[in-house]
Amino acid sequence: MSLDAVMGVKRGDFRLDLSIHVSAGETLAVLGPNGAGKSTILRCILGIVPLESGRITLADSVLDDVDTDAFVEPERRRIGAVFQDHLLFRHLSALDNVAFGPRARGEKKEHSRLVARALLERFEIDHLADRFPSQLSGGEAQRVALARALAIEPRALLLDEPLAALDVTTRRIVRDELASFLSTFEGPRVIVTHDPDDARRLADQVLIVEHGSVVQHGAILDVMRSPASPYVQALFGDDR
Amino acid sequence: MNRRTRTTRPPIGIVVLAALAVAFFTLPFAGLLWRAPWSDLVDVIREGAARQALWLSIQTSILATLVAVVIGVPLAWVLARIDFPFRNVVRALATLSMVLPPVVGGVALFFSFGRRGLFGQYLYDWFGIRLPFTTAGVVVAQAFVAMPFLVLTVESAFRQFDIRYEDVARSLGASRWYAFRRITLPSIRPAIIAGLVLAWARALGEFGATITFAGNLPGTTQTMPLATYIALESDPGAALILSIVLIVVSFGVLIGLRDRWLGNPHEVIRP
Amino acid sequence: MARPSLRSCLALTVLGLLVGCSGSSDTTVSVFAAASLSDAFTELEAAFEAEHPDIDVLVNLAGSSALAAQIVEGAPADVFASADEANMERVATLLDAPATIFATNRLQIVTEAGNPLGIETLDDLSDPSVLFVTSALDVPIGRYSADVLARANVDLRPVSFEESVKGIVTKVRAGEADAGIVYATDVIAAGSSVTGVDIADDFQVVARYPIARLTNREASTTFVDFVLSTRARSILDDFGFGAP
Repeated sequence: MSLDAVMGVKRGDFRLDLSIHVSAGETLAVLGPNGAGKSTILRCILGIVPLESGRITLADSVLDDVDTDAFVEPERRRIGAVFQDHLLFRHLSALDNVAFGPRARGEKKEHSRLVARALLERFEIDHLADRFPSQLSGGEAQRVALARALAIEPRALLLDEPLAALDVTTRRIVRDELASFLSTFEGPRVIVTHDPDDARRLADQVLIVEHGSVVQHGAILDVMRSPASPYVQALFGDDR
Repeated sequence: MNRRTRTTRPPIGIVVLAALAVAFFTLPFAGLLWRAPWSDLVDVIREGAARQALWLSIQTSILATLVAVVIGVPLAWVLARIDFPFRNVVRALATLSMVLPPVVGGVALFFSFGRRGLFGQYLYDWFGIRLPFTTAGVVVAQAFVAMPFLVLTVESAFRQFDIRYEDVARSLGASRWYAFRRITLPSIRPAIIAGLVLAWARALGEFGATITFAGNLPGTTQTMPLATYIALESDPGAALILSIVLIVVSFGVLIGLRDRWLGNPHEVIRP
Repeated sequence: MARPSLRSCLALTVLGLLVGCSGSSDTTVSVFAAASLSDAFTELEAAFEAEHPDIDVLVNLAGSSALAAQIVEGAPADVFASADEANMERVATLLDAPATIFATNRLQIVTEAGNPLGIETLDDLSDPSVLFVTSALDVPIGRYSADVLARANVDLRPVSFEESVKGIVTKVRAGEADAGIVYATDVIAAGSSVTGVDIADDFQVVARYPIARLTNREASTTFVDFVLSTRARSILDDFGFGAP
């Protein structure tokens, strides 16, 4: 159940042109300077931004194919997403946030809430069920956001700078939790980050994107050993 | 007083100006209450015309607000989300009736939707629909002047709304309409309520466009503002009473607006 | 300080506005005149100012009941010319000298140009398909119309009560209303955009226009005397007003 994408899309003043492949159970970290187009990659996979050229497939289903004009709407793709500032719905409680996915997909309210509660229990945050996003700490919110993404039983998982808004201590804790969780998730995962520690702890493969194109790609150790650009060098430099 | 308390107290200059503003708004009403012939209160209210006018005002202003919401919210959405040619022109047109004197609006409606109007003639000749001298005409006049308030408020809210919330909702399986209904609209609810109240208040107080376009007939087109104005010419005492009735009703509605409807729900101001 | 502060600018603006609102000086006459006198009084104003270049006439035109209400509430009028005696009565205690009738007017039915509905009598107005507009009863034309209709025993339901006689003319000439009852002078004033239909003498009422001064300034007396002069008489005649 792998994720394959060949994407070409215009982005502001440059063009994003690259291809990625993530196998089931594998985590790809996408790194790059700000404005490189990293988030656009995720938005294309999610279907929020349609491709201008190329093709995206997940397992057997074609999500976006410009040549055959095939396009699956975001709401039918079943890909989970977690964002940097959690983006929990402010007018819903933590429980209802997590239950939102199943409800949107047609499940009854009670059933959705049961699913949600089970997920919150799994992450040991069920005591936060009735709190509202404004009443949660950064780390708590990110955990709820992850639970929300998982509630739809996604086939793949995308994380856009999930730890960036957290303070150093919380970041380390949540990163470890994320690492242990990811080891149980079966589908492919893509994590966008600018933090090399995230890449080291969470990723198997690394993709460096600068200005819309791939600068380097490979297993994390290989990239660290032979950086292909000044940016990559600066990123992992102090490790050599 | 020491520096400690002075720091946390509101600055005196601001308080004085604010007090001036409160006086500016309160004194006219005080004058009204002082001159009102309270002994005539029961007679005026019992007399049918006053109740008729009030009931008509309430009905038409609510209908006008509904019209404003049904077509105004989509317009606000389009103006906020879609970048189309001459968007500024469209926005200016939609809010023009807010800056024009209401009578001008009435005149415009008159010559476009009157029986011989540019478009009204077809409404009349083909469908037998006549707007002047009807309650429908009152609703049209009120909606015409009230809608800009709703459109501007809601457009601003749509613009400020982080569209990424909709993206998240869609990734979770929500269709565009479901995301709009369950995520976007509830998030901008304070703005919608504020816009609704502004539009309703404007519709309730509408006079110039109404009397020019719809006319003045008790029970059909004579709203409270019209009844008050007409009464002022012959029986100022009655006009005062009518004014007070309208003030009490409006004040009641506005005071009933809870703070929490106008602010964000579940927002912690000071942790 | 080198730059004027916002506060001093505001203060100057307020002062300027207050200075602008001054009362009438010795060389102005404030005349409150009924709406039906619009065209006639514009002409009278021009003729008067030609004879008395040092006096400036300011005419405030509105329905007579609105004017009377304003005067009762203290509006600074020097002269009041009403379309009926009832509204002059309302300000009787404020007059400086008794009122004098200076003109009369007759009523006419007014219809759209060409009279497409073929209205010929007051009775025709009672047809439910005819959209008839009148004015509020306190506006003179409203009362006169009610009198006329009562005399002719015609029962009808107006679709609107306009604020002044000019409002009736506006709705009828635009084709919004089918008919109304206005002064003969209004029909003349509206020219070819409306058609007038005579009312039988049996039902006709004569509108009597009184004029009076409210202040004892020389300019007020001069103006009232002018309106009662033969010169003014012939001007009023041109517009269709009858002799007092």
